[in-house]
Amino acid sequence: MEAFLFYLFSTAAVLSALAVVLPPHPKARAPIHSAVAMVLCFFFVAALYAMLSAHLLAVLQVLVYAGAIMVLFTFVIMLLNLQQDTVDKPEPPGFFKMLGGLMALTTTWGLITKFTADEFLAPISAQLVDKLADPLHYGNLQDIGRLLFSKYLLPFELTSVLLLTAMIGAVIVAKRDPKTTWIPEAVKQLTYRERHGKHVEKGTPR
Amino acid sequence: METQIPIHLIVLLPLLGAAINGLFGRRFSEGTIAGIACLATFIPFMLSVQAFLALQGGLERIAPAPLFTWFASGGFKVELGFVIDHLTSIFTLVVTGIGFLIHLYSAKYMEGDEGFYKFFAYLNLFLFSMLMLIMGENLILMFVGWEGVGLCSYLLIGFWYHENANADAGKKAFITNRVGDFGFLLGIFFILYALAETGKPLSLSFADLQANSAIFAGLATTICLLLFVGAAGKSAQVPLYVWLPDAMAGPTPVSALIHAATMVTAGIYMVSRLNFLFVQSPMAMTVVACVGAFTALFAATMGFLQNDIKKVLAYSTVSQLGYMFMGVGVGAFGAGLFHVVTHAFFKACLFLGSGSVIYALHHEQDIRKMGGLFKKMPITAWTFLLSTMAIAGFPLFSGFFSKDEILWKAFANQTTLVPGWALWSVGVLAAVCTAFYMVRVFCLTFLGEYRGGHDDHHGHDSHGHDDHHGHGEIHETPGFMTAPLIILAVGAVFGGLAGLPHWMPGHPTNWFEHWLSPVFTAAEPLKFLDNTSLELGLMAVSVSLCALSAGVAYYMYAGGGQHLPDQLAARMKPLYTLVYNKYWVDELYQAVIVSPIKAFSRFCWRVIDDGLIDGALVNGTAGVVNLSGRLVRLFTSGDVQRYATVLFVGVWVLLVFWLAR
Amino acid sequence: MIGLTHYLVVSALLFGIGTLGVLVRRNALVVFMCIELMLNAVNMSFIAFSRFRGGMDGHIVAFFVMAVAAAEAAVGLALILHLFRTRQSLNVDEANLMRH
Repeated sequence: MEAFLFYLFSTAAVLSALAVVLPPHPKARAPIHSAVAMVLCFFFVAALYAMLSAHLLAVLQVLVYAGAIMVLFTFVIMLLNLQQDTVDKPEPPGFFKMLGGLMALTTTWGLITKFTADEFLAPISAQLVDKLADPLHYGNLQDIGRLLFSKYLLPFELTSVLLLTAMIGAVIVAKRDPKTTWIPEAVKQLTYRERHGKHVEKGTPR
Repeated sequence: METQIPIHLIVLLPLLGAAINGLFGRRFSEGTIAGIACLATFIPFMLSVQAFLALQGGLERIAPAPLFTWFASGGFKVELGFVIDHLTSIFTLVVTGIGFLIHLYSAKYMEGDEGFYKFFAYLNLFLFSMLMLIMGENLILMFVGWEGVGLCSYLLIGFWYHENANADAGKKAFITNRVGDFGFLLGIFFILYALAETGKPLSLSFADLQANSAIFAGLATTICLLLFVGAAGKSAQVPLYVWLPDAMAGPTPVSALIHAATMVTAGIYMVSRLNFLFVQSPMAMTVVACVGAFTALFAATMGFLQNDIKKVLAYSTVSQLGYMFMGVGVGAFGAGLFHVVTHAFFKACLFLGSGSVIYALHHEQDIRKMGGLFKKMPITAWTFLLSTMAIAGFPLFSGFFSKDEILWKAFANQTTLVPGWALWSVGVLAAVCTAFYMVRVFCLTFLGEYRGGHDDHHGHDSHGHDDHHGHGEIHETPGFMTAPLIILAVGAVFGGLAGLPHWMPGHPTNWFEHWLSPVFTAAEPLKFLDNTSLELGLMAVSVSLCALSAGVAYYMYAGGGQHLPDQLAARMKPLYTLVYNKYWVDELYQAVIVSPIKAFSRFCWRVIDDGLIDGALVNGTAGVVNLSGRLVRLFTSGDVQRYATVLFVGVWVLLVFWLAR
Repeated sequence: MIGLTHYLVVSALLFGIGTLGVLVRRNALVVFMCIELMLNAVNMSFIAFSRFRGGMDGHIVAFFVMAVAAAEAAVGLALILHLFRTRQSLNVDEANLMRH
């Protein structure tokens, strides 16, 4: 049972990841398609986390990654009103892209070969456990919380600072400079009244 | 014995004078400048007199403790100390005394020159260096003074540097001196080597060197020959004499002081000071004597045909220096040094006299344009005449005693490897020539009719000086200039009294030689013939030959035979041309030494410096950097993904390494 | 049966796919998404190791990775917005003003 579920979820995750990178259908080349495929991938990865008894993290994966980060991505796509992939016709990949692709493939193959080799886990095979010592409490919120506030307190606090910085940074960077800012049609449409006052002449698009 | 005379002031006061005049002289009046400079010379003179008297009273030397240790490196220590012994006392008297007279003379001669303060600063600096040379207690201090006088010579020769010829003359003097200095340095190195070999302490003080003199026996010839190269450069012997005639480009007082009385005698001083080395090598002494004799004759022949009054005197100086070296070369140190003293008097007088003539004639130096000055410039003329008689060896004048002493000692010596009579013959021949050309100069300058006309031909001595007299009105020069002439002439006439030879009635010992005997203890073993009648006979021969030559010269240039010079010149055209062009020695040097060096320098400049260092190394490095920058810039495509790819290449390589383990 | 190795293989696959996307795709947003994919692969690896060694430290690390990824996404997207505003295009190949 476990094996079946594992293979199901892992295959699905890998396939949807592939869909992000290599659009399966010529009509599905827009970034929005990649975003959706991404969300799907995250869901399957969350499932895999659950199989690893990482309950909190599985939930966090859905909440944060799929629920926040990907939503952010989708917002941006909508805001920029990107219809399709940015070029009308696909250009043939240059030398560096071929090189990059080749390296990615060989890396993957190499890593897999290494991981599946017998002697890879040999040094720590004594410490590996198949059955958890405490399956009920493993991977739940209390234990993680306890660790966060004791052993990993400092990184925890620093992360909060990091998040604050990121917030401020994002706000400042994303601010509009009226002189050079190009406003997408959607935004213009939505904010017209605001920018030009309540009185609108007849015939003017609203 | 303790003595209170502050002899180091003798050396340091001129330095102070030079510093004051050099740094602040621009704002002083001419009188102040001259006053400071003369004072800075007169006080040392007084101190020298005092020192002399103290030594006369029985001291062998005045040797106060050294001022400080200049440097000490390993076992080699050099201290700044001054010594006056019997030899040095003579020299200091001559240097400061004649120096003072020339300072007075220059106060008038250089009047109005824009570099007035510089001139006196340089003169004082020169005195400082010269005094350091003769009073230094070790070989290194002597060398410092040696170089210092070379420097001052350069500065003073090229004093009127706006003329290229003057600057060139200065350079020539300095560079030729340098060649000699190279030999001097090598000699010092050999001395140090000998000291180190035998484990003696490395001290170059003269006292220590004399004490250790035995260890130099093997290397004596080498050392002495090398040191003599230095002396030949400084004292203008063949082959390094070529700078002295050109040095006449400097102001006349400079020629008088440096190139007649003092600096050029430094070589003699050095040989005398190191007599304990030279007497150990008969070969070296022979070389010194032969070079001296040859130079005496060689230079004397060139004096026959020169037309610039100062050039004649310059060649005469070279010739007389040859006599001095001949004297010390045969071991007659006393005689050679006596000639130094007498020569200082009459040569300085001759030079200052010529300066006086030049001053009066608005810088005319060509003797063919002179004449008939005897009545117009009586003091100058009489002093010039007396000095001419001294240099020609007129009996009972100072030059007679010193020159004949040298000639006799040369004949009678048992030391040189060359027979004494050969040296004597060369010397007599040179004396004959000397008499001839000196009388020639005198006649052409002072006797006969004035040939100068009223043209404003400016000789080499030119600078803004001509508005002092009216044109065509030649009269005697001012008192400041004639007073030194008189004093020097007196010395030239009566100076012989200091060194009256032993054959004079009532005079069993030569006082001068006796005075110097403590210094030359190492030379006592040298033997000379002792035959008074032979001595007197030879003297009679040389005197009569000189008298004959003088008479012929008078006849040819002031008497009835005034057509003879041109006739003889036409008859002996090749010989005449050879001598007139000074045997083309300068041209020879130019072709063999100077031009190749210039060519090599140009090569170094164009090819090595410009091409290799500037071009290949400096610009080349910049070019390489530029090129490689351009090359690397090709990588900056601006494409982020490309950058990421390249980044990943690095990661990939690491992964490969890890995966392959 | 389903051991550590299996999960590691999945992690490697996801990582490789993510790398491929980063180096090959032309759209800036897709490149960004692939970066997130790579981070996920790493998370997977941490959690798998943590599970099979019995400790919880891997979870904490994955937690922090997520937090950082979120921050990074925020700022990065703001930058992409800016890029788009000035160039009207998200093509990374065209964004080469820094070339010499």
